[in-house]
Amino acid sequence: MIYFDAAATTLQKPKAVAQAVGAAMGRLSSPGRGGYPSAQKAAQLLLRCRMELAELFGVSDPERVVFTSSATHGLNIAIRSLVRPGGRVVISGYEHNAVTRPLHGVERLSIHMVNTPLFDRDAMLRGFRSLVTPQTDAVICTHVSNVFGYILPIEEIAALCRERGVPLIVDASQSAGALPVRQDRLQAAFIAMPGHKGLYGPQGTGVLLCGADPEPLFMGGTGSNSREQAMPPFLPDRLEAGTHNVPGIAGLLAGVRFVRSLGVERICRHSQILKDQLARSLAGDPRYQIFHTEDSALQTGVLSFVRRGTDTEALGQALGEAGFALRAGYHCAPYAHQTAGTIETGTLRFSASAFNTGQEAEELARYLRGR
Amino acid sequence: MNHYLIVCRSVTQAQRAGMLFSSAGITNQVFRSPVGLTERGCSYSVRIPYQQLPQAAQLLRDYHMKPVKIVLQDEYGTISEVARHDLL
Repeated sequence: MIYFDAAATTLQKPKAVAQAVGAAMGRLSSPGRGGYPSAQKAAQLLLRCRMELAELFGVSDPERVVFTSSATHGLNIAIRSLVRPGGRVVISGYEHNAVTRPLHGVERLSIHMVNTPLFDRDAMLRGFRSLVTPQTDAVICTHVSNVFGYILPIEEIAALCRERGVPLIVDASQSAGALPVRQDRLQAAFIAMPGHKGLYGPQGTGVLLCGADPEPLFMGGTGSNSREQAMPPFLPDRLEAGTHNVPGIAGLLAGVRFVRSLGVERICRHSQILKDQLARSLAGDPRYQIFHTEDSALQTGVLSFVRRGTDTEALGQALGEAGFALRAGYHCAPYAHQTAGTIETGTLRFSASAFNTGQEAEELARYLRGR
Repeated sequence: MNHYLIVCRSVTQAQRAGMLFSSAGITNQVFRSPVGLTERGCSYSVRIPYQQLPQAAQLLRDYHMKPVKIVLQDEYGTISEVARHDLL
């Protein structure tokens, strides 16, 4: 099986990730729940992971790096913290259900969506400028479309939010580990990301960078302030009720070290080269519609395409049977398809990781052309 | 021998303080705070030698870390609180 679904989960991980998970399973217990060595070492591991994440993402205080179970978990915390019933939010037209479903659950919320064409950053910025007002509770924006790999102008949107005094929530699900993401530049209220995609950690890990004071989603034991019934007011404890996923975080730390050792820019360039290779191979074939730009500032290593007259899911199934793992359908982002005009068909999505090769991309292209 | 206990709000803060102290050559030990040292329940403390408090306090200031309190523990185990404003 040749795996091209890194945008969902990076399946191939550095060997150190599984080794770290296994070692943690046998040696580490619950951080903050004891003074004995296995608990203390678990707490040290969590702190090291927070510190390395803080360095990678430009966070000055590692205690504001919070572990979650997924980006979705982090986004739910962020939305709960900032968005009130009857309020007003502005979102891009490329958001994932991890953003739009929590918003759907807020009563009487006025949701303003910036629907602008694919790869047109200027139009998107104009859209945000016209909709973001000081009365906006929050702007919520993905850094990169999970469907199209489109890199949104997040720094400019962040600057606009700062100028208008509106908190910004960034969904970095597709950019963490794949593009530079810097909280010291964005100064976002929250940045949510998964651990299992571009950071090469295990599934069940995620990170929330907190620029603002959050409201907890879960409440329970934290190993601190135990005589009080209110959740601790300080981070990370305020958001980390219950026992941590210590093996997962051990694996995440190994993944983060892998990313830092290779360099985010190098990983990004590698996946973009494979994406461009596939796009060029399909570009001359009139049966395929591809959603592509060679401008590296506009698209990561994710490429969506449609085979005209062929059911997208059926082609995805055929690819799977032929030994290629690509995701088909709506990718949990129906609004992105609405915005880009693919809501009737969905797309097939190619997404490469640091472990894919040019030969693998060529094999896929050959299969698609020959089919 | 007398030493100071820096009482932290969380294990994360205590481990972080311990790491900072170690990197500055301050001998330290992170451990569970004695029951009764805080009114709020479980916490962690960092034990440092008596003579290294000024250096430790400077590091906490540099990194904007505010412990819950700092106490002096003498060789008999008697504890007395140090006025925070004198140090932090």
